[in-house]
Amino acid sequence: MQEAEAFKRLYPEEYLDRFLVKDIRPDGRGLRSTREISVHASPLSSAPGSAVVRMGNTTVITSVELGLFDLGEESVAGRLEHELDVGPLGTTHNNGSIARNRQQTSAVSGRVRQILCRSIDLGSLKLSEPGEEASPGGGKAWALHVKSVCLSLDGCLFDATLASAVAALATLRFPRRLEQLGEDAAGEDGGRPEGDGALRFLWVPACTAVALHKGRLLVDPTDFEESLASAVVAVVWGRRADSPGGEEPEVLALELGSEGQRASVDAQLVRRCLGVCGGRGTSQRLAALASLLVEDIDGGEADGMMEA
Amino acid sequence: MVDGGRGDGREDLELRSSRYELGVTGVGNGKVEGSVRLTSGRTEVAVEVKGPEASLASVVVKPTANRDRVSVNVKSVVSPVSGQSGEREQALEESIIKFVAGVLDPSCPPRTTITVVAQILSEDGSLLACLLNATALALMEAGIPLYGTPVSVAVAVAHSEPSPPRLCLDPDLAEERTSQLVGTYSYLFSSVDSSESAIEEMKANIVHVSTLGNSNAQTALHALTVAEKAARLVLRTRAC
Repeated sequence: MQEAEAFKRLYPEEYLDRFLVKDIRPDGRGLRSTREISVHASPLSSAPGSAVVRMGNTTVITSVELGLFDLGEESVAGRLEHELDVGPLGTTHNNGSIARNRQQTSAVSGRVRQILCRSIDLGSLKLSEPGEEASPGGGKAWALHVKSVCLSLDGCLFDATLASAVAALATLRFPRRLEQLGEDAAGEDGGRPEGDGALRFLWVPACTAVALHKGRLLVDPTDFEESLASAVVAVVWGRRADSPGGEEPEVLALELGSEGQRASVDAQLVRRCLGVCGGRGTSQRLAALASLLVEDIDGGEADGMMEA
Repeated sequence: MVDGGRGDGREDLELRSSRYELGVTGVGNGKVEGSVRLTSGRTEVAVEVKGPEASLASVVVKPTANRDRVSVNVKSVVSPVSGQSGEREQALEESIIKFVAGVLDPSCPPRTTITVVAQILSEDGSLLACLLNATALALMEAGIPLYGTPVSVAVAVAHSEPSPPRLCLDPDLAEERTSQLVGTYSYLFSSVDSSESAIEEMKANIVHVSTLGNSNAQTALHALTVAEKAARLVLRTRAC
C-alpha cells in the first residue's frame, strides 16, 4: 500500500494512466460515472435554511440567513449574496498564497451567485403591503445571505458548492409577517409558525465537470484527477422548477479552461463533454435537488409566500 | 435588442471597430515589459505585463512530473473604472490567470512569475473578451513565448422564441442585459504562417469558454462555431 502511495506521489501521471488503460479510475469508478450525491437537508436548526452536500470526499455545508432591506424607487427585486470559505480543512491541493486562495474561492463564489440569481425568482422576495396594489418600487424586500463552508475538498468545488447552496435555499422557510406572527403567537406556544413560505425557484441547477486527460474524458474528477487534467469543462444544467421531471435539462452555464500546450480542444470535444456530463449522473443530481422542491411546488406554498 | 437590427446599426455577425496602441507605459520605473490600450466600441481597457521574473522564495510553483507542463506562476490584478475591486473583478482576474496559463509556451522560463495588471477605462459590453485580447497583445509585446496566437470574442444569443435563436457578435452592454445567453470564447491559433489562406486552415484550439444564460446544448454549440468563425476574422484583420 505504501509502495503504491509512493509511486503515486513520484509518478502521478503514470499512476493514473495505469488505471485509465483499463477503463477504470483510482477510486474504482468507470470513466463516465459521477460520484453519489448525498444531501442532508436542514442540519442547522438555528438557520432558516441549511444543507450539507457530499459528493465523494468533497463536502460543503451551506446556511442561509435572512435580512430585510429598503428597496430604492427603481428596485423591484430582492437580493442574494454568496460567500464561500475554503478554510484549512478544505485546502488540500492549493499550495499558493493566502491571497491566491481567496481569489480562487471568490471566483467560485461569484459564479455560484450568478447561477443562483438566475435560478430563483428574486422578484418574489419583495414584501407586499396588505391591501396594497403592486407598486414599481419602494417598500422592503428580503436579502438572502448564503454562506458555504467547504469541510473537505476532493475536486469539483464549484459543483458541490452550487448543489449545497441550492439545497439550502430549497429548505429555506420565510417567517410570516410580523403582525401575523403576533396573532399566531397568541394561540400557539412558540416555535416556528405553520405554513411558512418557501423560496420560488425558476430553475433547479446542478453542475457536472469533466476533466480531459490524454484524450480521455473523466466525469466528476477528484482532486488528483483535476490536478493532472489538461482541460476541465464544467456544465451547469438546469431543469425548469415547474416541470421537474418533464423537459430535457438546458445548459445554464458553461465554463472551460484548457492548457493550450497540452490539450487539443475543439467544438467536437465540447460536444462530447456535453454528451457525457448530461447523462445519468447529472439526472440523479437534478432529481436529488428537485425532490427538495417538489412538496412546495405541489402544495403551492411558494405562491403564498409573500402574501400577508 | 431591436428586432431586425441592432441598436448601433451593426449586422448580427459584425464586430465593433477595434483599435489598439502598444507600449503605452513608456514612462515609469521600467519594470513593465508589455503594455497595450485596447478599444472595442466604447469598451476600453489598458493592460500591462511584467515578467517573466524569478519567483519569490515564498511563492511555491506547483511541482509537476510532466515536462510539457508550464510551471509559471501567473498573477493578475484588475481595477474597475471607479471604486474598489469587488467580486466581479476577482472573477475577471481568475479568468485572466487561467487564460495566460493556457496560452504560454512550454519554453517559457520555469519557476518564474508573470504579472498582468489591467485597468478598465470604459465599459460597454464584451469586457472579458476585450481584457483577454489586450492581455494577449501585451504578452506578445513583452516577448513572452506563446503557444499560438490567442483571439477572444464575445457572442450573445437573443431571446427569439419561437423562431431560431439569433446570435450577435461582440454585444454591447444593452444587448448583454437583454440577451438570453452571453459567452466569451478564446481560441489559440497555432501556425507560423499568417497568410490569409493559411488562417483558414489553422487549427483553432479552445483555451477558454465562459457562458451564462440558458440555452439548449445545440444552441451552445452553435454559438461556439460562430465564435470560431469570428475569431478567424479577427485574426485575418490583424494579419492585414
